[in-house]
Amino acid sequence: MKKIKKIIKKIFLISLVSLEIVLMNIHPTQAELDSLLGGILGSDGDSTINANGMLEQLEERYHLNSDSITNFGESFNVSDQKSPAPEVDIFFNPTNPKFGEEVTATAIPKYFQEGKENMYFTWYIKHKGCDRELPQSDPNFELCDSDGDGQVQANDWKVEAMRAVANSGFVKEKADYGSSTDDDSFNAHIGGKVNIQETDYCYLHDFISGKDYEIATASSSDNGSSDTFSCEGTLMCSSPYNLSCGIMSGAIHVPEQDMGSGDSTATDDGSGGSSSSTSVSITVPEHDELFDGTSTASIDANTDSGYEPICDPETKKTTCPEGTTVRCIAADQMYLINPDCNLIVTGAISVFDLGDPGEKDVNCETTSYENSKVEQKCEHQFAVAPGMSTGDGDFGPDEENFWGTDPLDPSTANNGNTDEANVAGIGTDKVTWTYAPGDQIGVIVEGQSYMGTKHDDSSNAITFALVNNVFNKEGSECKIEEKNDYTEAIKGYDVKIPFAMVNIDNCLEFNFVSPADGYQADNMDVAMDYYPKNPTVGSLGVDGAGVEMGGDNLVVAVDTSNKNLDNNQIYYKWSIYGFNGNREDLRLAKEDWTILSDDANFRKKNNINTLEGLGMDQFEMQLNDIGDYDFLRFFVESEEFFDTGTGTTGTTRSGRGDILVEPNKSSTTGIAIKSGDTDICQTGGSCEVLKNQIITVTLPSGSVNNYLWTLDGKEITTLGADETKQGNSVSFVLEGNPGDSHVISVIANDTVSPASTVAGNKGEKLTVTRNFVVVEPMIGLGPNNRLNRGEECKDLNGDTDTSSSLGTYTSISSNETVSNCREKVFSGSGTVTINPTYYPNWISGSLKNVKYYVNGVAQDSGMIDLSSYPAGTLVNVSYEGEYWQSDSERATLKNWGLSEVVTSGEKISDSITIKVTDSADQSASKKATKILAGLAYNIPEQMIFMFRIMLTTFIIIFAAGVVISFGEKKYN
Amino acid sequence: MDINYKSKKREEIFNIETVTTLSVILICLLLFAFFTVKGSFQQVILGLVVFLLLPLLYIKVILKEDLNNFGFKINKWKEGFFIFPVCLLIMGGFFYIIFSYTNFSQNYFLGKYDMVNSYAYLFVYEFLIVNLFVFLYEVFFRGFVMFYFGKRFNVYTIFIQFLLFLIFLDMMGRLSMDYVFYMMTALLAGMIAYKSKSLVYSYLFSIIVLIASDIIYLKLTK
Repeated sequence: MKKIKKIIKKIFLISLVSLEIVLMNIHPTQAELDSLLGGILGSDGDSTINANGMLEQLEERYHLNSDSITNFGESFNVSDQKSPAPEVDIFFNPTNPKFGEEVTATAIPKYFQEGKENMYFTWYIKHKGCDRELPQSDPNFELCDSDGDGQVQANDWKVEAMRAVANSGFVKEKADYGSSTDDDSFNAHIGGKVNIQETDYCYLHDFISGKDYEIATASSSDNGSSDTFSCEGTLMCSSPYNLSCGIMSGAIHVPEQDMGSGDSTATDDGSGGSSSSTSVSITVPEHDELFDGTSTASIDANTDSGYEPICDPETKKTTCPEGTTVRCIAADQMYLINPDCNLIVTGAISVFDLGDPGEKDVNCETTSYENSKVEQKCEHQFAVAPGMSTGDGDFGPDEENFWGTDPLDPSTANNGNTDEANVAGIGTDKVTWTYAPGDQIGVIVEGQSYMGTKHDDSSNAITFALVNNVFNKEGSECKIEEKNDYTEAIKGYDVKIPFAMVNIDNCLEFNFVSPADGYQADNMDVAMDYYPKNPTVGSLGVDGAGVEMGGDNLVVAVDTSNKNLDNNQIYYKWSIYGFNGNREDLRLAKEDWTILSDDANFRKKNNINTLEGLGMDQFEMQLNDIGDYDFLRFFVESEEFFDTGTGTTGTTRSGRGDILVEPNKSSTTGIAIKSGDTDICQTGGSCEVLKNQIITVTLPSGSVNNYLWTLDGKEITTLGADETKQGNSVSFVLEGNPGDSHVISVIANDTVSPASTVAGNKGEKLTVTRNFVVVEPMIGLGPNNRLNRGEECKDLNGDTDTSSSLGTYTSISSNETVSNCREKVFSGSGTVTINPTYYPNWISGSLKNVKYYVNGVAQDSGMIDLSSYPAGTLVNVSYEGEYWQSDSERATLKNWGLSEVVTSGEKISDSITIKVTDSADQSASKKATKILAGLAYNIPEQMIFMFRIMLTTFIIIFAAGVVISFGEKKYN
Repeated sequence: MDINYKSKKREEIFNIETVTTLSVILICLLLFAFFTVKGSFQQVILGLVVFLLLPLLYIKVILKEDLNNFGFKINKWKEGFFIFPVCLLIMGGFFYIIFSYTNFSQNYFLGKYDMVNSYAYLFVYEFLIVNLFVFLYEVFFRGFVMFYFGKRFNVYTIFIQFLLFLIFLDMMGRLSMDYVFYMMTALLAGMIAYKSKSLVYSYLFSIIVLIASDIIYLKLTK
């Protein structure tokens, strides 16, 4: 797209310029000219051509802004230097290899015309310490001198890499290199396998200036090129040196020196109180520095380096090689070069003149080389075996032996290329080697770029790409030199073509990358989440003693996407913070939060055991009690060992994350729980209910709109006929056996649709839970019974009765001393009232068929007159009753899939024995009753039962006999 | 008085005696279900009276029949011992189905801890309690009910006594899988008693099956 825009811009500009040229050069007839120019000039036809007017008209007609055209022209002038040049990137797999691990480098070339299969990839690998010119005495020399030529050069790095490409791990000890029978040669054409252009032109892109040069060199000094320098004197390239002069005594001439300027202030306090300030220059006048005694002076001086100054054709400035300086020295100043110590000592030469003599900025002119005097240097950059060449179509046994390829296999690497083609790197965009810390790698990519040459043929620039694009490194041998241009007649014009030379091998050391480059201990990417999404504190309700049983199990998990090690090798440290306040008050700054996990009591309450450890990527707690805090925030820090790849000590990489949780505060109050009209859950703790009881739970309607009722975690789906969603009241049947427990829970909020007229969306929400436990209905008679254990043992008259005490015991939970009383035998005298204790307490209003018996004789109430019994008499008192759900509830049981029968009356009964004690009120009028009661008491209970059953049997037989006697006997 | 069923003419089914007897049977069942008792002793006494004494008195006093006609004899031992193993085989198959294809073994409640962990306790339980009530059920349902209605309904009397037994269980709140072997035993014991005209074989069959079922249950689940 960018390229297309550029082309459009070029075409537009060329068209504009052409139009102007045409307009300026045509010679139409006067009439034609009048008609042509009349409109443009705004006159009747002036024969004088006004170019400015024409252009103004053009700008006006085509809405061309002059600033934009100027801007465009300025960009156009340098557009050639902005064009993209071929480059290459290298990727590694694995990205952070360990010592001894195989790593594959892949080259991704860019801005080349052909595909990678037609380009040459010359890889080079430098192991740690294998620097160029490594002395042979170095213990690594043998390892580094891969080509065995006795010196470490760039070719050794290339051989090290391309040998791995070519032999692909082939064990050369198995091969016989006496001869090579396979045909594995390869003739490498410059520029790529499919390059068929007539002349090959290699180009070099200077990534700093943006200029492109043909890689060529002038063939001789007599080349037709001439340089003219603007120097009236001797032009040289000087190099500095340090001159030591031994001086016995004398003077050194010091010229006048400007030391800068200073302020001088004058004040007149006496007369007028005025002051004035003037600026004065400070100058040290010319003088001689005299000295006595023996001394050695070290003086900076210059000498002629011997290099010839050259004229840069682009800048038109005289240049010298690196380390030398252009100096144009006048004839009478030549004594400043290689100065004589005597002249210095005598003061004939100023030491200040010695440091920087002559003129350095020297203009020059140069003319181009002739085409015939320039020699193209378009050459491969292949790795070569000493004394042999690569890509020459000859790959004999010696070369096979050198590269370690199989002499019997034309493609040892089995990649479709011949062995020599692999050495040449044709299409080998990958190389795999065994990594050692400190290894560096690079690649030279050779291929045709998109840039066309100016030559009168189809040629495109053959270009080399390096991974760091460094072809010119100041202060090194890697430099673009011999910059010049030559002239070639193309299409009748003299076209100047810049050329330069560079030794790419010298630049390889600046074009390395390493798998460990940029591989520092980065942060671990930590993502956190928690479950359940709406955790509730204390959601499990309360136990029978009113103590909260606990809340949801909150699990906070951390996921590290870029961990290098197994999770069990990662160390996690968790901390919990709390925030008390509304959402509006919420602050994320850590100092606004209170750390909770440091509090042992908090940890104990919420079942938190471990806060840190290996592999602890999940943190779990039970939301039992979080105090007054409305928000919880979980912080995690993770750390793992980080291998720096140096093979020695590593370091750690770490990650941090936090997540905010807003738990629901659960309540156990605020809901009404009824069975029929009876409130069955007035007290705290678990609500005691009976089997198959219909329960109605109601949450007072308030600021919430939506309700989710659940029983034991399952949604209650029973709705009324006119209901389509759960409301603030719900009914259900509690099934199960005595001892079973259930949890009713309601979650409510005020979320409403935006179009709704109902008020809401204030973020109101609440969770209420209650526990139910299914119990068997029971009663207990007497002041102390299985349901009602008093603080002390009492008789039926309400007095303390020590005779019924069985001792005391200490409660484990409350550590209180409790009396242990008889629960079946009580003392009493006179008239006593038997008050049953009901369990659950609320059944007392729903009992039917309640009967009291005294020694089997039914009574009207629980008020019993014992005065007729002699002291010491044992009186049996029993109670019988039935609990029934209301008829209306029982009628709806079929809606729940239950028969009314299952809620038929539940019988409850209890009996006690009363030992009659002496009573002060024994009236004579009750003596008769007393005798009868005593008689009744003395008849054993079992006898009464036997009597009843026998009487019943007799009645049945008798009745049957009577009935049959009325009928006809069938079998006589 | 010996009664030969084949020689008797067909009786009118719903005469006053039949209705009265059926009423007595139902009264007995209701009495056992709802008569107030306290403790095991009274419960046993109630069972003896309702299921043994009352039927015997009714047979002897009201019906004036010979007890032999109600299975209190050992005759037709060939029929008894022929059908006995057949019913045992049927029961064995029933065992297999119940234990294999239902959750009986998970839900069956044999008794308290001592029962399922002590064979001595189990032995006492089976031979005192189970044995007693098996005997009483045999006398009442097979002896009294089935043999009485056998004169009128022939082989259908097996199902009549079976139906009454189910009603009885329901009244007791025991019409559940825990008593599935009692139900099946009632049906098969009825067949045995009907064929053998004796309560001895049906009683033996019932006691063997019910004790075996408990032992098999223990073996399979412990």
